Amino acid sequence: MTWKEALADRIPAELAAEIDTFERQIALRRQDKIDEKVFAETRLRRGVYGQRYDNGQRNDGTGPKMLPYPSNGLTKGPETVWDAPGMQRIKIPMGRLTPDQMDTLADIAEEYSDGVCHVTTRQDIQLHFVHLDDTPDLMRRLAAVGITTREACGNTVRNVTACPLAGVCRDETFDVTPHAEACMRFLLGHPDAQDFGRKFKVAFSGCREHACGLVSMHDLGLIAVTRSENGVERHGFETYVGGGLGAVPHQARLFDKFLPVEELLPIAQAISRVFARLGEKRNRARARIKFLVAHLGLDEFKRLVLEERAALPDDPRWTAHLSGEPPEAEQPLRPAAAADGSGSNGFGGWARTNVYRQRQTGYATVTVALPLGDLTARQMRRLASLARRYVGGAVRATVEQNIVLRWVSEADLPALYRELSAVGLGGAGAGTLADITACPGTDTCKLGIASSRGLAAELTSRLSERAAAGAFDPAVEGLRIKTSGCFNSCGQHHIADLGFYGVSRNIGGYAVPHFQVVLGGKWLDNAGAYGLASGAVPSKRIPEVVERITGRFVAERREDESFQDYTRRIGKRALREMFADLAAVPSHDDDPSFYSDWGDPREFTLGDMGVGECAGEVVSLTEFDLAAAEARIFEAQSRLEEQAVAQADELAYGAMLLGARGLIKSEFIDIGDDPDAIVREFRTRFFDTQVFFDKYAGGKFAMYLFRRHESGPRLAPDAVHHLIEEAQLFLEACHACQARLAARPAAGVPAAAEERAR
Amino acid sequence: MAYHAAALQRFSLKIFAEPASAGVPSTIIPVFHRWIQEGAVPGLLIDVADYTHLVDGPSVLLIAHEANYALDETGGRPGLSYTRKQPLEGTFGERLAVAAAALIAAARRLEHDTSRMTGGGIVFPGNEIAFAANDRLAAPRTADTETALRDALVAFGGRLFGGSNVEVQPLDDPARLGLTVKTVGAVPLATLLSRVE
Repeated sequence: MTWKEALADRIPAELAAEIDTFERQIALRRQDKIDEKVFAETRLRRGVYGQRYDNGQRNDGTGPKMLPYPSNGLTKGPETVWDAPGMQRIKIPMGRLTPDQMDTLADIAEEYSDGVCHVTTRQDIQLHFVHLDDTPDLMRRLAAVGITTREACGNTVRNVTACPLAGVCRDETFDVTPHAEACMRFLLGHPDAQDFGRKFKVAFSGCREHACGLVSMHDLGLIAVTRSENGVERHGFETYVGGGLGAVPHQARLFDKFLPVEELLPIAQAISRVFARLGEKRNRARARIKFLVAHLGLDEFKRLVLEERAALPDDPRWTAHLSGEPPEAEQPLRPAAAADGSGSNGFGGWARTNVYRQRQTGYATVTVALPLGDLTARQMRRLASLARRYVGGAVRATVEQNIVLRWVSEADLPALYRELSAVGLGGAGAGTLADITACPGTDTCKLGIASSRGLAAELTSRLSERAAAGAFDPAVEGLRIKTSGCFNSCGQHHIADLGFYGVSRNIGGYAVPHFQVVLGGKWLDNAGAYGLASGAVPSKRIPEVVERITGRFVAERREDESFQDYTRRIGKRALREMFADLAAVPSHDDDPSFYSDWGDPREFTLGDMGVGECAGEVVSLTEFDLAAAEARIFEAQSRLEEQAVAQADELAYGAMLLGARGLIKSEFIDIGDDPDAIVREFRTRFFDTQVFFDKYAGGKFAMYLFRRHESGPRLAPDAVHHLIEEAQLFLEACHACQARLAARPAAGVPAAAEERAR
Repeated sequence: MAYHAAALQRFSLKIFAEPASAGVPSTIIPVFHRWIQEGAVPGLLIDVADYTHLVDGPSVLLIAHEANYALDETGGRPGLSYTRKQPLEGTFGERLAVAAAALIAAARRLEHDTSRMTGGGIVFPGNEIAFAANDRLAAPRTADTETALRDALVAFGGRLFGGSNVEVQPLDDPARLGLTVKTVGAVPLATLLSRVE
């Protein structure tokens, strides 16, 4: 019995087929039948990421050492050893989790990972130290509970995020959940969202003022707004484009003050098409849509998008979620009742920071504060059990790396607190200075420079007692600290009040871990402002920086002055001077502790950094289809061996169609799946023009496709065997043709509107 | 799904520490790093993962290709665990013995390497090892699986503890099948190791 067999009737057919295909691609890569770069992008699009030291080398503190994996030279990407453990990112749209899903996450964390689940800053769950060979079964078990890892990474539409309070918030304009859900479903696997030069992030927020969806730092950000037309209130979105953090942060720009809800999906599609067509593909450092918007100018970008929108054929999916029965809303499990005010030790402090009164009287949303976004598999399982008993399925992960339980009857709060505390999840201080966000940093990320998690752990341990006791000055209690291991801002340091990102400084011939101090970012107002770098300080002195800056702010702030206003008022020079003395590093002989990082006794080095996979591999749609065709031929051979002749015939024919389609996509991205259209376009574009012709064989290999297409299925095993061989030769010719095309000077791909007019 | 002994390759063993001796978990981080430098325990040792901020699970992990070693706080009981990831050859009993040998050797090393720490080092009484099946397909949580595993662990316990006063009890874990193998009184780790090597 395998997981594939055991779960066959519980996995949707489409997901099952996708995972089977991925498993075949793994098998083909093992046989070196898929290029490592293509395979890397293939696995990244399924959330299968590389991890630190996967190049087979690690500095153990005495110098760089080889990690002799038994991979025998096999790689799963450029400089990425097959047997090296990796990270699995699991997309959780809007962070919505059910107890059954939480149980499965716990199970797979125990069986395939290190027993710990990690909540990310995009409401995903990540597992670390996962072996590539385990990923198909891991995906099947997730698929059986309604989770896909598809497009969790790579140059795709990443997890769609939304305010975790959507639907229960006291201030929201309307609940964005159904729109975010529809957007996620529409863009997932959409052909127009497959050929980006970089990732594309979408977020929804129910209001402007709070942090919620962090709209301003997104490629596409949507804030719920209403408009009155002829006395009727209409729902829509204030729409932003071109935001993003990274090394060069951009504030998103207002694209439309009011995008009616029925225009959300077509505009998202049109934006995707413009980004795919005109976005940078070669230089990934400038490939996010923010650079395209900046390059074109907002007006021209908008004109192109609207032109694209006007040319799009109607799609019933655009508005399917707006008509018919409204989606089933979350229902409270327990009756609403007021709390009686009693509670065990610590309850009051916890309730003050971790409980949010919902707009629905008698109900609250509870934040389960997770240190560094982590919880053990057992804790995840126990949290699922509490969710079942107290709130049914109303659970969401948050971008602050916590988990919220929604629809808690207020009368249940003391009991829930007791039970959370019993499993180590009753920590207070959610949303305070002690609730620190951190990216994986040098713990597992190939790009990490300094230990963002080590720093966050150290700060948390110093601050959490004060958070629990309510001992922070009110002026600083709600400030946010966010740490990143490098400038790429996965820890979102730009939008923190106190942000830190890892850098290195050379002192007396030694590398010394430092953090650049970034001050004055604005978490509120949907990531309303980005902070400015104010100087680098040794890692080991960052806790003093936090103490000093927050202390000075409390002492020097004017009445009701915000931290952002304070930092602006006193100026960058004064801020730098505030901790200038902390920048000094004692000599290695005087204090070697400065020369290692938090939580890692090894002498600090940059030697373990690798090539990041955040950007994904830029692989054309042609290469994708050719890789998929290879997998299909492999499958055809297997079927023929099993005497499944008809299936083998269909697979071999399908492989040729995929190969032809791949080539067509280099000129005509909207080709679709219709065999007649593929053969017709292939004949027109590649056969009649002789572009496909081999120097010696001419158009012979193309005839294999035409013949099978026209004559229909073959029934005799010998004939199918022959067909498989022909398909293999046809595919070789496709590869050769693609290589010739790639060597030609680049020609522009026609715009969709022009293409349709042909 | 039914129990399939031959397929059960993912499992963990945990040897419990004297609670008072366990000390502060973060002090083990440099010990594990040193183990990587010295190749102190069996396996391709890769990295150390710090989860000392968590309770009820692994606290400090030594990640290896074949298996993970962990200072483990699951259930509030400190100990050293060995979680097998890559397949081993031989019968289930033989695989258990290989894993137990790696675990006990690591526990001995940990006792030794922490013995000079302030406040004393970790001590393993050597009278109890917990087994957990870490494969819900090969070892679903059923009565049949429990019976089969109990038989295997009684035999394993007999070998480990010299055949006397062996008690096998189910672990309180609703999520996966686990059993503890106990004997009365402490047993030196060297003795345990000699019986499974």
